[in-house]
Amino acid sequence: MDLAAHGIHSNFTAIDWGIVAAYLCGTIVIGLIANRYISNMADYVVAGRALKSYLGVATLIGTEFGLVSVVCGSQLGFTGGFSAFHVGVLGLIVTLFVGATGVVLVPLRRSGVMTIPEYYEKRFGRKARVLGGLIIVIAGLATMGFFVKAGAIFVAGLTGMTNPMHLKLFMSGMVLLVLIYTGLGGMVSIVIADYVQFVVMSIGLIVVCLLGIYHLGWENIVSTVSAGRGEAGFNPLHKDGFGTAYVLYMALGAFASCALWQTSVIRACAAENTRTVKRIISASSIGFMTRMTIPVFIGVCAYVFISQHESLGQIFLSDAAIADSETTMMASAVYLGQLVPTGLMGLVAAGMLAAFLSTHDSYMLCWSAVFVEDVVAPCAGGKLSTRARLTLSRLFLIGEGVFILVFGLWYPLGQNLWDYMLTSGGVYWFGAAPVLIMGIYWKRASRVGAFLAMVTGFGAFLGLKPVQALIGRLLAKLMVATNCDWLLSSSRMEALKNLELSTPKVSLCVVGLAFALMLIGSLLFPDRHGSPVVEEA
Amino acid sequence: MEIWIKIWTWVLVLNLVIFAGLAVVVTIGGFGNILSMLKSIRMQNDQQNPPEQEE
Repeated sequence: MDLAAHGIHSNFTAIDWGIVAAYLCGTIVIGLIANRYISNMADYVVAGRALKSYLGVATLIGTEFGLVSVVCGSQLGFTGGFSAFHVGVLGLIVTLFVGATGVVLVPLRRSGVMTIPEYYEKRFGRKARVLGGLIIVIAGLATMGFFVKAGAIFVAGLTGMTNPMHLKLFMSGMVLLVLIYTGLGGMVSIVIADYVQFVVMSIGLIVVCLLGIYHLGWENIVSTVSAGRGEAGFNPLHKDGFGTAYVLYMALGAFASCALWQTSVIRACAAENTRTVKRIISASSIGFMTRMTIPVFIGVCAYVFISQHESLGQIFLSDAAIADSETTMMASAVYLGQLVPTGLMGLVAAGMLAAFLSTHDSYMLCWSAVFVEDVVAPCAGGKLSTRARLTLSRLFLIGEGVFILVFGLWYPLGQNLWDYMLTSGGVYWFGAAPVLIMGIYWKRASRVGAFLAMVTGFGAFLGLKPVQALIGRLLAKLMVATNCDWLLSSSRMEALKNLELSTPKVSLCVVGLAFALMLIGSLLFPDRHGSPVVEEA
Repeated sequence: MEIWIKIWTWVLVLNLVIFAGLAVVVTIGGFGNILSMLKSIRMQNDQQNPPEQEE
């Protein structure tokens, strides 16, 4: 999309590029300094288990509040209005509950594991660890697959840098930067970079929100959303908006984000003690709320701003544009590019790019650690040296970098980015929810039940729109090939070819099935020698 | 709809205020934690690999 051709120019100037460049150089220095402190895998993966409360909060928020969550939240706010705030509010409530009770995370920290599959092995045996590790890596890579594209689209909107080749080179450079300093310093460099990002991002986002209210006016924002979206723009349960199933799905997703997702768990495992785990998670609840509410508000402001500018409205508010998730993803960035003054824009962009780096580094480190520790090492019989593990981990990081660069180029998103991420991550957490919860709190949970639940998680792919369309087309072809097409009228056959199911409903069904299979499998096939007791470390 | 408007207004205001407060506290406390973490890791490493004693 060439915004300049529509007479739309960003406030982003050479000064802003200078601020961004200074920040990026700083991150390399952090990686180099942190590398001096790495001597073993525990230093590399969990920062020597020396993470304290404030830094734990900064790094957890820094990771979960990335550029991608800004893109996701602002897209939800742009398309759904104020009612998208419910995602953040549920994030707060659920995370506070997890922090107060220590559910799942405290037992995991007590067991002394570094990764979730390590817990699987203690509870369900080595094969469960390898399968669980593979599933985590697949889900993690699928979730990350669209990160670079989303980042590229946002940066294009923010900077006005719409030349596709420049953009690809820039984003490739960013991935390279992540690889360098994650590979160099592991968790130590990540927590320091996350801290810096937390500071920059917090200032930038609060200022952007205040600027939005100052320029657009609160009354104007509310009345424009009300006129354009009606009650669905405020009431998340409204049938023309998100709906009840979506809200339920978001509540489950909030639980998965703070209690099951490996990047959260790895921080709980890196905490000094179980008291610190609870404090980190409770304090992070503000972050889990803010990572959605502030971006959603930016998206709402973008909607108001764009709907009051005809040239922008033609690009972003036509029926075709609203249906195209990649266009709605760019809307908030274009709004910021118009609103934020030069200089402050550099700070905001540095914060956004820092957020991009911080999410990538944590995610990539997580998946590479899981791959090496939970898939390769158990298969090698635990004979891998520390040096070999670090080398493999760094090689896998490079593979991840290549994958996420390529994936975003060919995968058609077809839905809101937030829904895509939650659902593709579901390949892991739809199955992990019953395996972890029942594994920790139900003595009779067995290996067969765990395997069934984990494999059921792959049903999450059915919630992805391109997968639904592919299945629909294949079913239609199968019906024609087997002369069964007379069973459906031509309109229903057409509907089958363009199969579109409700993502929240499909996802809730898969989660329910995973719990049911865990229960049934454990009751019908109990472990022969009784369930192993996971000892405290 | 009015009730939702009031709820979301309060959610946004409280969120901005609390997040700003959290940012200040974590910024100050986190800096101290970084120094402490680096010191702790260095001590762990020194214990695992004690420097060779000079004769």
